[in-house]
Amino acid sequence: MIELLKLCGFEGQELESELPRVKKAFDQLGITVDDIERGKHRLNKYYDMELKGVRKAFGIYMKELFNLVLAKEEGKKKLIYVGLFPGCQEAASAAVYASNDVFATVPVLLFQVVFGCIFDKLKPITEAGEKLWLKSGAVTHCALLKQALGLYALKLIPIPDLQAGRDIGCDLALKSGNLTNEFFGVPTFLIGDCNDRENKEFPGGLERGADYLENGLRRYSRRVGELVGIEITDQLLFEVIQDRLNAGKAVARYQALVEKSDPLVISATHETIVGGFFQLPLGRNSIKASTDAASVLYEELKERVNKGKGVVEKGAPRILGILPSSCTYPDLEHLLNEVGIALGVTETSLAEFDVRRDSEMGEVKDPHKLMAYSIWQSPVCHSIQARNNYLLGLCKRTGVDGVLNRYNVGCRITVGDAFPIKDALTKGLGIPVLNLAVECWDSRYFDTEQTRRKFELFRDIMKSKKAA
Amino acid sequence: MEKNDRRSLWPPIDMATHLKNRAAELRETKKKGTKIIGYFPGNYVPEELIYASGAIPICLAYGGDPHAADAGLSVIPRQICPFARTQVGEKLLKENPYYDMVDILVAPMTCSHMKKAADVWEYYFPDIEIFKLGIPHQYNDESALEYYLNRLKALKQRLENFTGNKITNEKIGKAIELYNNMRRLLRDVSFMRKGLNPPLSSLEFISMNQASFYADPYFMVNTLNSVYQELKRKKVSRSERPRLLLVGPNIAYGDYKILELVDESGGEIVIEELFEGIRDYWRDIENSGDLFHSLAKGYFRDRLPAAFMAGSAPKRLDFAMSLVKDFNISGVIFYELLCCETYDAESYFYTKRMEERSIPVLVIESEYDVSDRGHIKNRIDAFVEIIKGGEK
Repeated sequence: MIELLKLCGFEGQELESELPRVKKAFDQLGITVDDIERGKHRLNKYYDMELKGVRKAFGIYMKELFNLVLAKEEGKKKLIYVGLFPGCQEAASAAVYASNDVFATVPVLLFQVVFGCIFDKLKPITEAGEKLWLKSGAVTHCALLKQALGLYALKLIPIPDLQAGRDIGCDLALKSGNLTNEFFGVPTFLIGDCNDRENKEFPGGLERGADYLENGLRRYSRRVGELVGIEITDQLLFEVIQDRLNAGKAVARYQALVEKSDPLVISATHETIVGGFFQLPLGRNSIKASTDAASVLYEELKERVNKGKGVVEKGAPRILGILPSSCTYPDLEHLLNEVGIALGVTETSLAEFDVRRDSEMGEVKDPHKLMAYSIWQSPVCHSIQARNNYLLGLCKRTGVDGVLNRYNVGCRITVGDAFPIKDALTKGLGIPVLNLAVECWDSRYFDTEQTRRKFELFRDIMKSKKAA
Repeated sequence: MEKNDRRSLWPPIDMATHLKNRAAELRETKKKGTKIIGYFPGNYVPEELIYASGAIPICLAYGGDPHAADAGLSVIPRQICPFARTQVGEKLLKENPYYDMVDILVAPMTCSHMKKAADVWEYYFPDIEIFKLGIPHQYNDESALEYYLNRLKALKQRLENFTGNKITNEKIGKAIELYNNMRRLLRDVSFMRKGLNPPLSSLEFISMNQASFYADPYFMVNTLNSVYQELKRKKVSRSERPRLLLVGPNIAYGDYKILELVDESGGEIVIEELFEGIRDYWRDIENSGDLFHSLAKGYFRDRLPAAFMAGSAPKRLDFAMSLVKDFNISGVIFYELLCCETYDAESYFYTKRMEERSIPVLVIESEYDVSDRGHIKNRIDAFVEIIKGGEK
């Protein structure tokens, strides 16, 4: 256990003082000695554990998971769970900033990283969700929601005082949230949102949706404030936004370095581990720790770049990945490196929403407006045309040799965009686009050998195009 | 098995002829400058507004044909439901005149599947103008209602610009009156099935309801009126068949397999609670005061909320339970389309809650596949037999 904790950045005094808590949490979660051995092996296989920044990043997820599991026992009076979508985090973070009695998190993300990436132990949780209303089979329900449900079903997490999500168009999240309320008594709150922008409106059509979301965010802050008995003031929210912005800038710096590196300096397996913090409603110390992890990692990678060290050979075909890399299992992104493909550019940085606020900080006086407009400006949220225009620009700017279009079969928001994206990029740029059906939250869907063959062919096409 | 003797009143010959010639007639009308406005189903697009603009509303609600659903697969993945894929497939195949003649598509942003169908239309068929009508997913929220109301006003503006006709309050009022008549008559006919001797089958009622999406509305109202009078006079023997409620996201125009199989198995669907594919006839639109507000309330808030709406499941279940009582129901057929994730999740809720009240539920999934007929039939046969056994 100590070795695992050291791998996850625990050191010295902290390691000693945390050990009893960790033991207790692992006992409650059913983590065995075998799991720990598997975890160490996987960390060393898929991740650059020699990098301190990576170790620190994993440590943050571990600590948040322990905090969650022990929250009630350690006297937290209010628990808030939020969804992954931007806009859900800030008010909950503000509550954590304002009171030691509050703990807020995204349970499923913590389990995906710790139980998925590290221990490869998510399957029973996913299956527990499938035994309820998110059955397995051709209906292809979202695995993330299965896991979120499975956590309640297996009683791995306490029932929260509030579970908040954003109505970004994920009908199943909304429905499953409602049924969680019906069957488990979980109080839910939905941040209202509605996108009806047309292709021809791009890049406009901002106001009606952003104003509606702004209103929803304001009500959400009010609801959180009522729950914890502390007003979520604009000042408090701005403090959270500023801290997240600092972290976002650190991650953006790291990502820019990765994007330009040749050979690719670090595997894309790390992308959502480092960027995933933005989906969590962290407290002050944890946000600062995540900024620190990204900054340390940046410095370490700069050194590697200077030495010309990388994870694939120099000049390997470079690709853009559509949708973020998996935060549940690292096999797909690891396999890319194995076959000699460099995934260095991604469509959406998880920090993008926070970073976008930089130019408007200080000018926009209402934090809810600032948040709503930064979310609403994202091309991914606009329309297919906006997404295509953005992707065309990104491919041109980074000069990638191909695009890996990982379309997530369990996600009805994005799955339908797969063919128009391929069509637009192929016609617009003449570069190969590999449409790959994935379930980025469920490793059971991933077939290494089938995917290897696809990647090898994809690599060869890119190489021959490049040579020509 | 007891023979079902309640056939033959729908469609009357003149309506059958009208429907047969309707597409050609509309094409002629279009040549003379009248605009044809297509819209996706779900009862979130007020036809009254389109009608008041002098254009002709056509609901694009075909489905059930595996050929069209599969054609959609060339541009939209399998995880999008077969109905939504069909809406794209029909357009790609260019065989269905209605899909080819629309000048604007009004696409309500309902479920993820229909949103994607609209996105894909917009991308692949840029010659057709699209109006996306935002449907916030909080039906009982004032700001959501206001958002929808504002989008209706934007739709009005778009229709006026497109048709060159001003949409006045007076025209909207007349349109509401016309469509209220249609809704009332459908309600009258449908409610005749509350009795122990339903004078028409579910297939007949659904066909009648769906005809209202394509037929001339005045002709439709007149026909409904005469059919209703005739049904009142009709003598029908008492049915001993198990009385069933059909619940689901969608019965498309042409997707009648489930209705036929239930009939063949000796069951009697006497009432339906469906989201897409049939006209919502349960209540009228208020025809006084601020008519835009009336339309917004009627089409958005005062109706049964769709399954994708936040917190809708208990309300929807309550409604289904009231149907069980009012229509003397012995079992529920929950008919869902493959990959329809909200209804699939809701089927769990319905099954649990209905079974707590001793009402059996059969969940059937369809992908418009011809090869599934046999196994669906077996399941329905068994379900009907179980209900019959329980009734003895």
